[in-house]
Amino acid sequence: MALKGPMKTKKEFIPMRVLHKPLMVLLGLTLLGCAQDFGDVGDPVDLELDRTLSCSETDAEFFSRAVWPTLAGTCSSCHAASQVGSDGPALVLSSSEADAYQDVRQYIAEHGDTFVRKPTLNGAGHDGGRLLEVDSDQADDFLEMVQRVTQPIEACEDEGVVARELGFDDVVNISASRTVRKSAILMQGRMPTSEEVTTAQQSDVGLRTVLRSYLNGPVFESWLKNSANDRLLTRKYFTGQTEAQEALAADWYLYPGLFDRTGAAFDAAEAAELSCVSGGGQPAQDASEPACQVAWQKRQLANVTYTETQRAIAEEPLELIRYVVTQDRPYSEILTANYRMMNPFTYEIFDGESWTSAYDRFNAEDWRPGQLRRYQVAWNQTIQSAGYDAVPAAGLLSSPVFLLRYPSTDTNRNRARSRWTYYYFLGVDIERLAVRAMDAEELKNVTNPGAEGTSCFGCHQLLDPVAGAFQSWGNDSQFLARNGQDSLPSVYVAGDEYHDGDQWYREQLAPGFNGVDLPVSAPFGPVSGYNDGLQWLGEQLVADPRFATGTAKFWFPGVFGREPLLAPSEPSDADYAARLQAYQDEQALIATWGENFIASGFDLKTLLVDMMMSPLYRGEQLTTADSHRQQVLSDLGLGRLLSPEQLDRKLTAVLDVDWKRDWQNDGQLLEDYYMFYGGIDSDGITERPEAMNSLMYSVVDRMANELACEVVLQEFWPGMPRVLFTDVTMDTDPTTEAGEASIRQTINNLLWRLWGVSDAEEQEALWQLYKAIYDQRIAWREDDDSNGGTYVSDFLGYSVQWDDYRDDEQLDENCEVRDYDSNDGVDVSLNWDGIVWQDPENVRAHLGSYYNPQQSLRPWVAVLTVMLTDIQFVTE
Amino acid sequence: MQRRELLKAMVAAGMLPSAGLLSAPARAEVTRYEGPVYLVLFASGGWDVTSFCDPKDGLIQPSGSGSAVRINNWSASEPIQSAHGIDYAPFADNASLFTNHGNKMLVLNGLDAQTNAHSAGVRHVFSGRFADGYPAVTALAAAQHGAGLPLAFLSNGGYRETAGLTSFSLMQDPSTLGNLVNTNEPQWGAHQYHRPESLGLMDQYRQARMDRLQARATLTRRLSQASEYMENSAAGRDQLKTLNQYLPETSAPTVDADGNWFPLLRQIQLSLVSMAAGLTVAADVVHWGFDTHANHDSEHRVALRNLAAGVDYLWQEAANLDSAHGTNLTGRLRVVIASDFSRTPWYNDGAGKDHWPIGSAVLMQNGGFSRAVVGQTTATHDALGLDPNLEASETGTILTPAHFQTLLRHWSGTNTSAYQQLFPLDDSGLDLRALV
Repeated sequence: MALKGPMKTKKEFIPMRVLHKPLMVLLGLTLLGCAQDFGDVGDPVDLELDRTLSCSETDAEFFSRAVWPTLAGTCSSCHAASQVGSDGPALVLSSSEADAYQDVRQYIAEHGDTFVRKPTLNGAGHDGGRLLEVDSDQADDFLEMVQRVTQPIEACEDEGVVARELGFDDVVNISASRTVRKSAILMQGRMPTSEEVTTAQQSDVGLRTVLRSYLNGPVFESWLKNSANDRLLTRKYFTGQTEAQEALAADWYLYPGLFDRTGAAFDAAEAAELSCVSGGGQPAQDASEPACQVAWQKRQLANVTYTETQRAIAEEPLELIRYVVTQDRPYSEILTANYRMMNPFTYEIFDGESWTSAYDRFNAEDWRPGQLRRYQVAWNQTIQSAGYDAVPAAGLLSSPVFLLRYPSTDTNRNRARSRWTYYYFLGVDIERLAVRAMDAEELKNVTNPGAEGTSCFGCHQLLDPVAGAFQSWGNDSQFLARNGQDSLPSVYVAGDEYHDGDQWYREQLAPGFNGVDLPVSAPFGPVSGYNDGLQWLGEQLVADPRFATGTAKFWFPGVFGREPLLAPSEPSDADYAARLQAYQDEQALIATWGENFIASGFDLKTLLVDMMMSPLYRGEQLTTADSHRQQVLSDLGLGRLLSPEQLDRKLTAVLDVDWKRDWQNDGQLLEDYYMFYGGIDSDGITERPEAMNSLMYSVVDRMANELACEVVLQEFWPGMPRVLFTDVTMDTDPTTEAGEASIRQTINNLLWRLWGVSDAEEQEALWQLYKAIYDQRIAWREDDDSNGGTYVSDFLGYSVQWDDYRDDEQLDENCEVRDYDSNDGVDVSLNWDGIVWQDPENVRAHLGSYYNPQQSLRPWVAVLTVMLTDIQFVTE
Repeated sequence: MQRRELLKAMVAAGMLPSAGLLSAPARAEVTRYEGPVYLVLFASGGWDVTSFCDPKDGLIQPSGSGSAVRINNWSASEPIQSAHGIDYAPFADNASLFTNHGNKMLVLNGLDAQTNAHSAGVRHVFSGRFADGYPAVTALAAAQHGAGLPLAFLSNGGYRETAGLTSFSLMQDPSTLGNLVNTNEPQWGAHQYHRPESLGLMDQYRQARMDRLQARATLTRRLSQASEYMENSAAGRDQLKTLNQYLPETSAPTVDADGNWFPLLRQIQLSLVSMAAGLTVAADVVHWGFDTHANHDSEHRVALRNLAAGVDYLWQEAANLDSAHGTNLTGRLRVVIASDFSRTPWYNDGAGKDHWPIGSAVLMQNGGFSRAVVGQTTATHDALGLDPNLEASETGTILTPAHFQTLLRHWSGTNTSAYQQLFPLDDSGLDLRALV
């Protein structure tokens, strides 16, 4: 239960209190009723409240996991409220777990460790006899419950661990439990379970196991695709200004089925609408005329077809990555796959033959491999007529949308594609090799930068051969664009250099990679042994050791929220040495990850876990005050500003709510404020800010203000489950010792969930804020405006526009009442009709937690608001 | 001393303004900014200045070619034009641009980017050197003059390195922006989420929390920096309310005359609004479409036409805001227009033009400059050197991005000894400061 690593096991820190006592045999005892008196309590064993309590598990969660099963299974037959008469036991258990939890807290507050002594007959009599052995796990759990109530945690022991990686031994990483929490939020969109925390605390192997287990499921898949798109930017054709179909239709005859589905869907919608209108109606979901309902439905289907088709085309490369990773296939397949990913919206327009099992035409999540068969190399000339079964595939390299995103020209000759291939898949930024002034005369006179002897050659000897491997692909992603023969521009073909059958420019370096020529049947002719040069190139790329380190660099921003450090290029800079050190240390880490990645058979999850174990992900503190070292490590570890996608997921994970209007598909962070909060459109805006600005802060502030009160109202609403405010009720009185203890414990839970920390100083500060707000409101109450003071209402929300007696808007306090889930059996809504104000229970039944004359909830609104606007909430 | 430590020492010594991350928290009440405002318009992709402000109407024999060809097709039918002492190409909407706005311009021709690689060119032209890490002049101006301003530096893309001196903001959608102006005001229902007295207690807590966080010396820089950004951002937030007075009823269009995506006017509009509100010192706006490796004439015509529309809108809208609010934006505006580099003085086989290192830049301010044009190129668009009097000279100094950036720093009041020490530029051989 300790969060301090390495974890102490339960047996290590639990006192062996009774091992030397003769065991009292429980076996054979049979409960005959609830009024038996087994008075032989024997010599009591001292109970020591010395556990190291876990901050990753709240008291309520601990109760639910460790105490409630025993109570419900063993004790409730006598202690259930329905069984207890006026002379019954002091412990009366409500039927619901949440209420029973409060019952137990109350009992322990009044009776202390009697909660354990009774069922164990350890110094106290028990009408039910000995139900638990005093050295049993159950009794031990009961004892921990006593400790949790009577000795609430000020701060959990959750110390970090010194990083072991070479060059980072003065970095203190966050603990295993905090690493697990961070990863669960980012990769799973939820808080970790106590079992996961426990496993992670046991050893690095355990931590790795838990981290790896997070690399599955829809949130992880969403992270994969978002991170990949931040690199590849192919969503430009979904979220940018050019739609995917329109982009592919530049040479419209290439894809004969491109508009088949969308065209048919819109034709059907228009025909149905015409029918509806001609009958005097208007299309509507609830139209009285059936034809008009049909028209409305067909329009919805047409819209879905259109939208999902754009998305499917734009996300095809991202889906290939997702497929390879989630199917645990070698990651190298992203460049060697001889298939293309399709869902029903693209399968029907591009393939139509490959899938062997049935599918739902409108299931956009049904992604499967397919082939680009419905393709024409020229007007009325199918790909099959050119001798191919389908357009050759070579993973991402041959993706139409990838090639579109990185187009070429007749003079660029695929060099840009070559540049991005090096950058994305080998981690080599060729443009950085040219970080120096060039000779203007040379720039003017050199007509072939790939010719030896020029200063251009240094870069172009790398660029040009790879560009040649893209030889089959035209400027806008067409395959064999010139009538199925090649993709050479007609002006070149008409020139002297061209020979019949050539596939590439004769004056350029021969297609190839890394000193190896593309196998061809004739010089500059077609590739030999492959259907396309890209298939050969893909094999070469993944066989290069730089593919492993390049993959680590590709995923670097996704995992760490920043680019890899650049090698400093200006030795005269004051911080040159510091930057060089940081760069070298980081490169060493990347090299190690690369080796492990290769050894794993290109298992991306192995690589991601390596990255998540590193100080680049976990570093929080430095053991050195040396400014030189601090400069070196200035971009490391915690403090990564979450993207709008990540903050949206974190909200759901820690609050269990979305910041979303009822009519919205996605949360406000992903719709209304997406671009303000650092979103990208993959088109003109392609880089995410790494630092907060005032507009972004305003987004967070609005989010906190809109959410805090409605979340508090939800959590305290009768019958609703508790996620945040686990240890308090509306009646918890902060002026009592017990009340303060419960509030502090709840703050601990909030600190763990929202910030991932355990911190006595912060607990104290938040408690002081709670108390200050509470005292403020009580003072208002006591010094009401009828006495010349300030009015405060009995409700969470108040507006003078509803009040005939007041008009000062500064008295307003907005609190939205929303029923997040209308199917959960709890109606969260206000019913102002027929309230009997003299009867608090009646008022509660009408207004739920909106009615709070105790003034205990607004302080929580304030606490939650400041925590949601804190740097440790918006970063990880 | 490391750069960061040097920055801190300078802040402590009062040598640097306190807008940056390394500064003391911006807690003091900040008054609206009413000094010069800087707007950099980035013509992304490499513009063809021989069809713009350094017109060439002759022939050239490209290397490896057997015959001379036209540098520009427009020269077959129309001669070079001139307005306000500036020669310009009779192409796109150049005539109206130079006729209507040439009196505000200083054209710098023969600017040698010394590269034909995009990223290197952008870095060099907009920071003054090839290596990473130097701030954009807009970032410098925001840091120097925008202490505590919530939107001191607006950026819509392009080169926006801040070197840790400030942070940039992206401002796009005016309809949603309103919700961020007063975050304590619900969109409907009651007047406010929290009462002022409660907010006061919460703000006290926040400030104390920041103090605690920043006092933790062992915290990694990334987290402590993030908290400083957060604090500065929060401190400036209240000032956003000022935007309400200036937000337009009608947003500028985001499509051009042909119906194609063209967000430049919207970017300019929001930048001016924020400048009018006294919240912004500097802004980067971006206009794409200049990387015309194919079909150069038709595509570059559209790009330059839209660029001219953007410049025209900029001055018109500034005048409109001045008229409505008395903001004197027209008098305070300092505008820079530049690109990665230029394009070859010949067409390639695809009727396009490839990259060419010799380019131009344009500065604009109301009332113009002491000279309209500085720098020359040959008839085939090679750079000519400049003598100390800034006249063309075969033995003179070629105009480089370092000279250009030194000029901009001088113009923007950021050529301070502190910044010179932190971000030195090799600007030997030419002193352009007398131009502005």
